[in-house]
Amino acid sequence: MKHLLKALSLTFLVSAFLLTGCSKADDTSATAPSTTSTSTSTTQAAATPKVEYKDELHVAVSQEAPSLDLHKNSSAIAREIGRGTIWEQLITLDANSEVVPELAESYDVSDDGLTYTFHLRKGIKFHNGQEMLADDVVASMNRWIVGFSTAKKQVGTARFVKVDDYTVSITLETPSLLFPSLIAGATQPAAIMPASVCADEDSKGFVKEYIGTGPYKFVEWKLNDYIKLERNDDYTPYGDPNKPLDGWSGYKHAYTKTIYLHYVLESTTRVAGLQTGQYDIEFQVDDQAYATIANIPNLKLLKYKSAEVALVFNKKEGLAADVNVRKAIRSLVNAEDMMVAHSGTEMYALSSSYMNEGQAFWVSNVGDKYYNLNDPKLAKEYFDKAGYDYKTPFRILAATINNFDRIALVLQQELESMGVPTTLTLVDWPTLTQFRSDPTKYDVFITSFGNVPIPTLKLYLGATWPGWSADQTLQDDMLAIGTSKTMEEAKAAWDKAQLYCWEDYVPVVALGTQYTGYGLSDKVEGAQLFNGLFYWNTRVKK
Amino acid sequence: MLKYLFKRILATIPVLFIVSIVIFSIVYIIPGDPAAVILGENASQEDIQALRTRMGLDEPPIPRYFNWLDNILHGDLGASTANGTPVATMIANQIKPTLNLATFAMLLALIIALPLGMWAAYKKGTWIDQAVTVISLLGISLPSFLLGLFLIMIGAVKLRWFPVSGYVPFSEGIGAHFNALFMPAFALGFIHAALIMRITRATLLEVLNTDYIRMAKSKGVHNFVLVAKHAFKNTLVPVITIIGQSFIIALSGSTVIEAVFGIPGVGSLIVNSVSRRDYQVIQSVVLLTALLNITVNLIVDLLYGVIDPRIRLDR
Amino acid sequence: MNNMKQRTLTEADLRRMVEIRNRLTKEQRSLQLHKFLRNRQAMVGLVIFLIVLFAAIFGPSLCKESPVALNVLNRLKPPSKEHWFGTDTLGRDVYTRVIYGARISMIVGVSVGAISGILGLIIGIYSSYNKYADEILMRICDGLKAIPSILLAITLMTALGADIKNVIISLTVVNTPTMGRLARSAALVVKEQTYIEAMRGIGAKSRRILWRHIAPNIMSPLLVQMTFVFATSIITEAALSFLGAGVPAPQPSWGSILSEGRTVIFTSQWMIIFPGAITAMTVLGLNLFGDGLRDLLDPLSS
Repeated sequence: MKHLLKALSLTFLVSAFLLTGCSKADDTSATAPSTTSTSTSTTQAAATPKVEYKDELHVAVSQEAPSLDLHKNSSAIAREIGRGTIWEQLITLDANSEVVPELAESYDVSDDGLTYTFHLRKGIKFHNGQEMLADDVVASMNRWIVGFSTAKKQVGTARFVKVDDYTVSITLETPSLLFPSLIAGATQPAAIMPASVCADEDSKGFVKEYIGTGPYKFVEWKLNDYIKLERNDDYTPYGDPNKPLDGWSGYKHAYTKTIYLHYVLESTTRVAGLQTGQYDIEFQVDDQAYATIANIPNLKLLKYKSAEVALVFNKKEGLAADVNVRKAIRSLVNAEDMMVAHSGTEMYALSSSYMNEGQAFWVSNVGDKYYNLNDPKLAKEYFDKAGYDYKTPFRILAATINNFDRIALVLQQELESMGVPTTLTLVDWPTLTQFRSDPTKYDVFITSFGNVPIPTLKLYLGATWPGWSADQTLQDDMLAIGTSKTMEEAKAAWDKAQLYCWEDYVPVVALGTQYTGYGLSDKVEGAQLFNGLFYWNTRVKK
Repeated sequence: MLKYLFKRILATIPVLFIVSIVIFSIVYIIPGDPAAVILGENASQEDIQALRTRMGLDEPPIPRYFNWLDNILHGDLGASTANGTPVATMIANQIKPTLNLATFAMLLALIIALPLGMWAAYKKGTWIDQAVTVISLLGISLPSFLLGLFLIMIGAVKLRWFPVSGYVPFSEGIGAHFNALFMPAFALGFIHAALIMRITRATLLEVLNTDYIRMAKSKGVHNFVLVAKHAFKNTLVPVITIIGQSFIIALSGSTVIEAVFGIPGVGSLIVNSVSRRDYQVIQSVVLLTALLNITVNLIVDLLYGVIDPRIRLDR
Repeated sequence: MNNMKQRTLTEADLRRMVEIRNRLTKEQRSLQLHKFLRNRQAMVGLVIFLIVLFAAIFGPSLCKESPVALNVLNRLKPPSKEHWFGTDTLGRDVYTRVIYGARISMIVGVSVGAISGILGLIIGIYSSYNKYADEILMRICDGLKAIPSILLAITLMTALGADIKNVIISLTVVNTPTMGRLARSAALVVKEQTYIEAMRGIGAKSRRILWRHIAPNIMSPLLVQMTFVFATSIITEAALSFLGAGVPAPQPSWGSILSEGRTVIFTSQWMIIFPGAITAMTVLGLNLFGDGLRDLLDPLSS
């Protein structure tokens, strides 16, 4: 027995060492030198004697893009890799989310508000050396319209046409004040690529080559490993070289020669890599990593309001088809608990607005009096009004990514504590995208909605999008936004629609705004944060 | 020998056929729509439907299965939905890290486990024996992701001896290659070490009990020399068996290790493909992995014959 | 006449043979049991296992808190008098979750061990007896064994959906082929023994031979293997949880607690230390116990 005790105690010593090792791990990070093998870069000829910069930038990303064909994919990760970096657009957004020219010299609207004409900049070269001409723009923009359902809905059968080699135009069927915003800030970017690339699709309809006009060239996408970008030495910048970037627009220096976006699945590993200097930037840190990074002296954090978290009701079938059930849930939820569960204490903001300060113009607090009520008594009144039997389970659907499942758990607890039985379906993201399209499968699902430049792009207000907000009043209100003559009129229409949603229709319950965070080594300079993090003027001190 | 080899190779055909049916059926019932995943949040139902048709997802299962099988027999393993990389290329790229990891892990395991197992057997019943047994069992008692994370915290974050994650190909320098591979290999090897330690100790105890050794002992030959000399040969067969089995375990265990250490291997290829619903990749990679496993087992069986001619190859 | 005589002789012989065999086995068993009780590692393993089993059965009724009761604003609190193991990312009591997790991990381990053992027994017995069944069943076993187990389990879990039941199914599918192989080779040995041959000679029904005589005699290696399957199931479930395909929330399993805890490994180590130590101790205990059991029941294989 004595021997065994010795053996066990030795075992425990080893495990104790392992555990203490990790608890003290943070302390030394400030002083210890970085000796990683992959991030060390070869010395470049010293251009500036004072501060020397690395010629490689290593970013750790948490997910891989489903596709890099921006016209046909709306993932945030693809956007942040491609937009403005590999591909540029005719027009883009400045820091106030206002439309400014990029590949266009300028654009103008006809007096009837139907025809938009874009004058292209001359001498812009694609990465393959070919000059960008009207044919390329027409092919790209029309491919974008077909691929991006929101644009297709907006423009109907209208398409871009070539006027001359440096001018394109489009004539809409109905006037649309917000059409430029749609092009500039679309969740599926209106990337300009050569006409030949647009035409050369693979069997599934995706482009085979990633060629744009941006400051970085696509070099390699090693699936499950990394994406490598290389500086485009033929890039023609625009704007003032002495001014900082303004939103997505401005002078792009492309300081760093090579950018690697490493795909690292495990969040703990990404944070550790940031700590040791193996990665310069961690892309989309979660709440836990945020708390960790905040405690490490040589790291810094950036965050921006990136999305609205919401409970989306199934208005077609089941319990939530009854508006009183929806109002009951609206009255019941404790938005703060849900947001903390989802984002931790540092990464959320309470707000009833469907649009966040990223699009300050559209922020609207008309729903405040219905937001975050946390009032079970009121909820019970509504449930009773709906004639609810307190036996039929309320079905909650959520994906296990981005902590949406944690919100589901909070909602479950709140419902059950007032006697409403629930069933919980927690699935991975691809399964969720299928289940939420099936009205027989759920009463509410939980997700978040990334920033959009105009309210008409809010997916959950669509009649055909999962949840099915096929309400005539709401759809009319939304239409009114798009056809407004002035921005003020549009804003008023949006306020009306949002109040209608909070007060009467309750298609969703908005829970608040979530931040997206980035962890950076303090050697990193000039990372541009605007609806994503962009590396055009980023460099890393040696 | 040749006849045996031929027979064994012939026997793999039905096995692979079963693997193909099993994996195809599982993949077929996986919920989630790859078309919806690729197109993302904004896609309209019509666009998704159009892509489904293009990808052949609307076909009934049986034609789809035979279509896939037919393509494979013609050497076409399919392509990834994400960027059109052919599956063959992906496997060629990603099998190397996994194989290198598995081999390195196995070497580390042998280096740790063989002497420890011998030592434990030699010191049977003492506290050394007990300690060695308990420590080696820890390898299969601790979830490997925890071990991996502990290693990262100590070896990379605290001591800065090794990089946190990633795979450095052999071509970029031998030193860097092994440096990057050490911690994952250690985490993975710890699992095998337990198994190898066990078998070494047990076999050795048996050997030490044989009349031959007893006689030698009575003649006054030093015990340790005996252990080293005779035990090694006799433990080789069971150890090779366990190495053969461990290869499958390595492929399995490396899935978690690859995820922790960000190594682009076969395991992470499958995990990512599942989360992307990249059906062709899942199917073809699993089938090839199975083929690899069967081949390794065959080689191990053949090795028996080489090491110990007494073992008859035909059952 | 000659024929007749031989037949009576055989029956009497057979009875005696079985009797002697049983007595011998009994004696041997009691001897080995004695040895087992003196095997300290196995005993320690057994004690650890029994403690955890006790906690799994009775612990939950002794806990004041619910393992799923959220208190979001009280999240990630270090161990204290109220929360011995601290609280997790949703403010749940880690101690309570570990105790309930013991129950779920035990359910998973026991079910996977038992079901795959029984299936393995059926497969093994029939394939040892029937040539065609053998060919078919063994090819299926080989096929399933050729797929790396985690990969098979994770694709199965994705296909079936996150659920304890499905975790058990997936892990059973992964473990049954080994059991089947094991049972088959044991059954083949038993089948060749004289008394079975003799029984067949006197025309006993094959089902009777299979279940009354072969099955009990191949139970030993299967039981040993079952303890190991039990142990690995706990670890594999943890790996599945890590890969996002284990026991789903809100139910706590040790795997899901650890997998959640790893995200706060830099800041809130208590979410890893306590459940990690308990998981490791339990699986270690099971392995030690299994090793002892093997020495007891199946001395030839070690």
